[in-house]
Amino acid sequence: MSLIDFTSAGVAASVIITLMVMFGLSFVGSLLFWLFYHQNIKKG
Amino acid sequence: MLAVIFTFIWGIALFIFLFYSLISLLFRAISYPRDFCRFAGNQQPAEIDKDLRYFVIVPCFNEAGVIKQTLTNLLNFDQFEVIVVDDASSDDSVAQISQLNSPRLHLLRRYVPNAHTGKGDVLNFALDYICQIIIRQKIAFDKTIVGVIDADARLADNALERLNAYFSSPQTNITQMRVKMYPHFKNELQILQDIEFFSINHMAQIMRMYTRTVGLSGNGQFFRLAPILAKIGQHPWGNALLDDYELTIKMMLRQLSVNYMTDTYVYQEALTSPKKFIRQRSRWVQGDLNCLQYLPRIIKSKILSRTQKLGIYYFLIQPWLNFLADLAIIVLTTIAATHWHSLYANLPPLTLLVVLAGLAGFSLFWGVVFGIFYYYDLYHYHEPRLSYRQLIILPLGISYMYVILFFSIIMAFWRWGLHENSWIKTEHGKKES
Repeated sequence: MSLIDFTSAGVAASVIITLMVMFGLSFVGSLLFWLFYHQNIKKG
Repeated sequence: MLAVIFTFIWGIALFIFLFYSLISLLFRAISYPRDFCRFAGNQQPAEIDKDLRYFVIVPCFNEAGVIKQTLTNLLNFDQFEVIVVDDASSDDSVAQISQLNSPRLHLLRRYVPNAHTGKGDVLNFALDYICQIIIRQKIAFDKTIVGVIDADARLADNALERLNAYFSSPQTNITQMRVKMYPHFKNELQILQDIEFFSINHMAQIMRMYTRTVGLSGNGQFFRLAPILAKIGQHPWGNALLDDYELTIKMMLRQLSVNYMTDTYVYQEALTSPKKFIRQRSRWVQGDLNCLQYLPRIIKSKILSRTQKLGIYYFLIQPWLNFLADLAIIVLTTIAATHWHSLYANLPPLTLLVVLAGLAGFSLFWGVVFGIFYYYDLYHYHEPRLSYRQLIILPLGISYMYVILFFSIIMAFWRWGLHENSWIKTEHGKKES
């Protein structure tokens, strides 16, 4: 059974790229979220 | 096919976790130092309201080992009236409480069959008593502040000063203190609980200040009585096993926002036994599942903002997400282990080494980040430092602490499915076997 064939450069690259994209998307998403809300504090 | 499905689930869970952790990190590292004095819980009013009256509720069930010490600490704050509710303890908790002589200490007792019906009932019972006192003594409801402190807790020395500053502003109604475990840890599990509360949860609560989704943590919650009675009713606490978050949802649905105090904290006892730790967490997870009953009201609510709804959905989805993510990790690890040869045997040793090192680095990333913040927090608040050995294993512990919590998730779903809603009490002040 071959699940993720790391000996294939193409498969290995796609796995690594997927992980990097996931990281990138999380980072960009969280940065946008932070930019939108970082002034949203009100003194009690 | 199985591997693809679980990889997909793992990917979604990882994305949500990364997103949540990164936004918490940005608010903690960039916004919080800048806005420290703008936090309602940290404000310094021009004048302190001298008419505030504090009633602190301490639920007590078999707490003989800790209760006297907790009450003594609370009575040291001269503005506190302490209401301790014994929920039909079978140990000598009542005898321990009776040794303390103070006109500011009120012992209420519940008896079976009316006892052992959950923490929410105990707190509502105490609140009825407080209402009787303030009506009798003609204390203004908007000057009455009610707090909830666990039987194993101790407040930091500046707690009353911070509370007075917070409640002196008439616009402020509800606040949750930062939570810390007692220092001088007996084992690594206690350190991990301290990191979780003192630094990781702290980071999340800071982010929630900006999104107006701060959650109550049970221990160290204080509120002004008048708005709670007016908007939620005479018995604000419900029967969910996570009474604090249930109350948070009720408050948010009634447009009451919770603030967070970052500059004072409440100490509580960390568990030393993994078994007790799993039991305690299973109660919390089950309590989260109990809160699903509010989902239709949250979805339909016109009061809650989209961000607030998102914050609550995130909280409610956590048990399901954690369950699926843990399951995915178990399935994928099993597949990788059983197909080790076909997966990795043909890899050159150097490539294999790089892959393994990459995976290890990836898994330890958040452990290192949270560990750095924790180290800084201990230093900043002059708390006892950790030894070098503890510091080295810290990232590993933080990264893998949640593995043992998988058992608590299973236990919670099991009990929830069987409608087993009895209270799994955490024992305090007892020697672990």
